[in-house]
Amino acid sequence: MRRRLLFALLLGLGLVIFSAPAAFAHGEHSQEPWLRLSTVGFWNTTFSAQTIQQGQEVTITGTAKVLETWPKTLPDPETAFINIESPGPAFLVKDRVVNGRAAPASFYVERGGVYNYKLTLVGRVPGTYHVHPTFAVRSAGTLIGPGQFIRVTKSANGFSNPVQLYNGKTVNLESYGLGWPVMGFSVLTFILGMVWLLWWIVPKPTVSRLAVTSQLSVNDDGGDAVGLVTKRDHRAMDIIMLATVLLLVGGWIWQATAFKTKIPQQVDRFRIESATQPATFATATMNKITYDRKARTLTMDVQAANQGKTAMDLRAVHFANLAFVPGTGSATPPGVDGTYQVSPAGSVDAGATKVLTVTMKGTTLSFNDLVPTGTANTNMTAVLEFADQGNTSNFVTTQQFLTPVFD
Amino acid sequence: MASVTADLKARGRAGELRQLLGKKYRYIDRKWDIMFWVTAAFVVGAAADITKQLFAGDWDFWTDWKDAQWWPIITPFAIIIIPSALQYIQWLAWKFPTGAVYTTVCLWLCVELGRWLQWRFFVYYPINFVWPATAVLAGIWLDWVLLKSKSWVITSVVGAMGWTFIFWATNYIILAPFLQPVSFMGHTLTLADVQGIEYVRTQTPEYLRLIEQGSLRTFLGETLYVALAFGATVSIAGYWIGQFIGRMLAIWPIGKFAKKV
Repeated sequence: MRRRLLFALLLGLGLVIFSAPAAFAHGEHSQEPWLRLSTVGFWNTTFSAQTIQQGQEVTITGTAKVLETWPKTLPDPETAFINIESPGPAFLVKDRVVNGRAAPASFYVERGGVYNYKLTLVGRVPGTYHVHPTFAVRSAGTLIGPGQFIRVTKSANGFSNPVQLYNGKTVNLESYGLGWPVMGFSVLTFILGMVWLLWWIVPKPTVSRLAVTSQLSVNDDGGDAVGLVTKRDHRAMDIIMLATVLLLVGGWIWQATAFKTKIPQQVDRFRIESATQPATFATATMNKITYDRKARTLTMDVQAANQGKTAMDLRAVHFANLAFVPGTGSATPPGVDGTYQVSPAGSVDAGATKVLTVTMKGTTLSFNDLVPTGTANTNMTAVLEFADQGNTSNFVTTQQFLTPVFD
Repeated sequence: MASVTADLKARGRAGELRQLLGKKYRYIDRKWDIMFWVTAAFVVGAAADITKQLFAGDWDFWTDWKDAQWWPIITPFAIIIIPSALQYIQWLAWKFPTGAVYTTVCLWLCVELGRWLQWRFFVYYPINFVWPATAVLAGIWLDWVLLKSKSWVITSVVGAMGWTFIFWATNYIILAPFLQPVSFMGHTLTLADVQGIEYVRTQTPEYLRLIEQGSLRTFLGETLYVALAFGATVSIAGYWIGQFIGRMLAIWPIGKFAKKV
């Protein structure tokens, strides 16, 4: 019986450990489709390297837009923060530039604002990580951009993080202050506390004291006559209290002399204006968007108008952090998430308006939980990237309620 | 005459209790004491840590959260609750002025173990960024006030107020090196801010930090002193929450269900 029980336990443990699939998403699938589609769009995301050594840099550049379709069910977008999604501090963020301005902290945004960002990271912990840029907006949450695996290899020199202080001194932020005062001072307080505790609990029995204390009132310790708390105990506790005060005073004098210049934590938040966009030549309206789950096909009817001087093409379609480009084959080109076909083929001439039927086959959107079937809010937002003959792009935000094709 | 008689009676009574104090029992020896102090350490440390994390988690996790306004208000309040409960229990049961020190020492062991194992070795945050605050010196003060006053009211007012000041002063000594200015990304920031920027915290956007938020700072134009005074007041409330826990959730149920011999 015991052997069977042990076998069952081991089997269960083994199945749990070895049958669990690796987690490849970072929680974005738990966000509703309308949240991810209608709030922040990402495009032109590039990673400068796929493999770096500890201490080496990798940069992530891209564009994030606070879409005009920001839902009314959310508070207006005001404060945002660009960061990365990674399993803990596997990387350090060494620089963050948004629309040409250094942005160490959060910044103030506006609906419709376009933010070109550049993050400079340094590899810190060896391993392979799926890294995404993220755009967090207060009261909406963190929206995750396109990701890529980055491998950090071990450096023979290990890893250090030198930072220069105001006085020119360089410290290694990985371990600065760790010995003293972080652990040293803290351990001293612990030792003092242990001395206090051991004075009472080592020489004096604990459990059997109840027989005596239960016969005294709460505010009466019996004094020296009973012996629960004696004059000697009082003297010892006074000495420990004095040692506490001396430790505090000594520590205070030390920090005041060792670090004469200190400032409080800073809140450097400011407004970053939206990036200047090229002149508008393309406008578009999404007339209809349907999804056939059986056929695994998403179809969009888009009325595109070209007010520019040259013909324009639909270069890409962006849904949240996904990018689709024109293509016919089942193979997805590198750097994008899928393909679509446009009918009728051909450009939209200058001055013309054309109704385009954009068809996307495959399960990419549904796999990424971006098709809002079965939800109360079936709004789908797509950012259409039109490019003219001069290679200038217009990113047009379009939105329409999804018409699902039921089985 | 009556007072002499009463005095003799009291001395006799005290003598009896003194003898009872030194009594050797057949089935109760020091092993019971060790069992209690060691096993209770896990429960007490966990209770104190959970309470602190629920109310003041981020303020205790990161150096860039340990500001001059909210840290001295929220963290002492969060940490004083369980020491207060243990003070009541240990003073009532054994006349040991050890409740606060015992709790803060157990809490220290729990958090240090957790930070090193979980945060440093499992997720690679440097300890000089995620070091936990120590409340042991504040606990010594709280127990010392109880020992001297033998009064819950005095301990709650004088003790809890001193708790806040001593807690802040103790941990400011550790925080001081990280408040040095640094030029980073073209801005003048503290070393603590740089730690917060560099060491990635994926689901903790910077705007969650409460630094200089609220109108508290406008009174007298000084944030820290107002925060300390307010934190001291709030700690008094925290002390009495702990007393409620100790009395109503620990001692009272025991008295209700345990047989009196």
